[in-house]
Amino acid sequence: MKRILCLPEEVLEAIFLRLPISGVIRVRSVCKHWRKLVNLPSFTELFSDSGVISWDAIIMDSSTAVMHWGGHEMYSATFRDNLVIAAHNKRYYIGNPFLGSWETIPEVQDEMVQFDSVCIKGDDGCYKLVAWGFHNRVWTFSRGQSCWVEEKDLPRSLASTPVVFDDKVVSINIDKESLTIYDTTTCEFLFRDLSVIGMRGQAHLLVWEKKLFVVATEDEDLEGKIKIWDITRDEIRLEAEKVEEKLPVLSCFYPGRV
Amino acid sequence: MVKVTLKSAEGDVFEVDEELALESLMVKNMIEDVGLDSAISLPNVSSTILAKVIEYIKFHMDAQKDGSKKTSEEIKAFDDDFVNVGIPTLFEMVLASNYLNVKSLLSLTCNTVANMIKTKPPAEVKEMFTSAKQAKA
Repeated sequence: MKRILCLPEEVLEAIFLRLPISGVIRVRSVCKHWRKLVNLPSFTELFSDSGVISWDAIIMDSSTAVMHWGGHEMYSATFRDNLVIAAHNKRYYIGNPFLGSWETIPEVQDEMVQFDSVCIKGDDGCYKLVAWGFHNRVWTFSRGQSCWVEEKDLPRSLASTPVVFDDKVVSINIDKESLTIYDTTTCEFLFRDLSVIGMRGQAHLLVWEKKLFVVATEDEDLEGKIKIWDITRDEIRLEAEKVEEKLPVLSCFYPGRV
Repeated sequence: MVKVTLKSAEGDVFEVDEELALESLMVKNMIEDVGLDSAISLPNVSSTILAKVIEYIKFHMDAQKDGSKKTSEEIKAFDDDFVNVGIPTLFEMVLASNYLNVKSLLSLTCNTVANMIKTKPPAEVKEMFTSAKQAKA
């Protein structure tokens, strides 16, 4: 029997870390030893690939390998952590579509929580989901739990779609001009005043290159002057502004490309 | 300029500037431990590969020096040409840069291997690694 060349594990790991997700999937099938290596927590912690998921359930990785997701609906994804939430026949699943590993998760008992407002923090081994309802109700679910748990009563407000930033899940309360921050490690809420931005219209959050931005319109409708604020640090800085007619703020451009 | 003597697996002797030798963290540690008086023995690296590694380090050291007129395109062209070798040689360079602990060369060679295997079906990847082993044996 032909045996494959044994490179030291640290060298194989260095090579595998440079692959796109679809490449990692392929090398898993080469031999048992390689499969074991890429399944190690030490590998999955280091591995990251910037994938793109579109609403019609097409997943693309950094080498533009494409995977179609027939029959399932995709809800939420953070590819940094290599996990997505998918639904099929009203059942919800979490997993890595490229690895084809799925676990069932319960439904959130709140009709106002859409699955596109669920944030995922963690990796295949241990994850935590944070669902942020439109009226500022927050539910969490950790792997192994049997149901979602509502985190303490927050004041009702108009909450934006949440984003994951570091170990925190963040949402803007547009009507209160403030930021609600949920720390996933301490499970505590923090609040931050954002009135300096003057959100009269729409606002949403954006994470880009390890920075946190608020994209806000000046007018109540979705058109008009768009301002992008860098709120990564305590000091709030105007990053860019742009007048774009008929540009819905939700199809926003990324600050790095302005 | 202080010289360092490196001895390959075959026993061939390579005399290089200390500055160049220190780019290998493994050699750097050896020098710190045993000093410069005797030749540094590298039983895991063949003469051919050691000569290649020295060539690589020398090019990049010169390119980084003030007054170097090398453009980033020229450096990239050198790197591309440097790893444009047969799979057995490429694997030996991966192993040597890992053993000698030359980070930039390890990164270059690992990237090259990753690019080669990223779109190949598992059977072809297996074949590639099997033939590399046979060539090495």
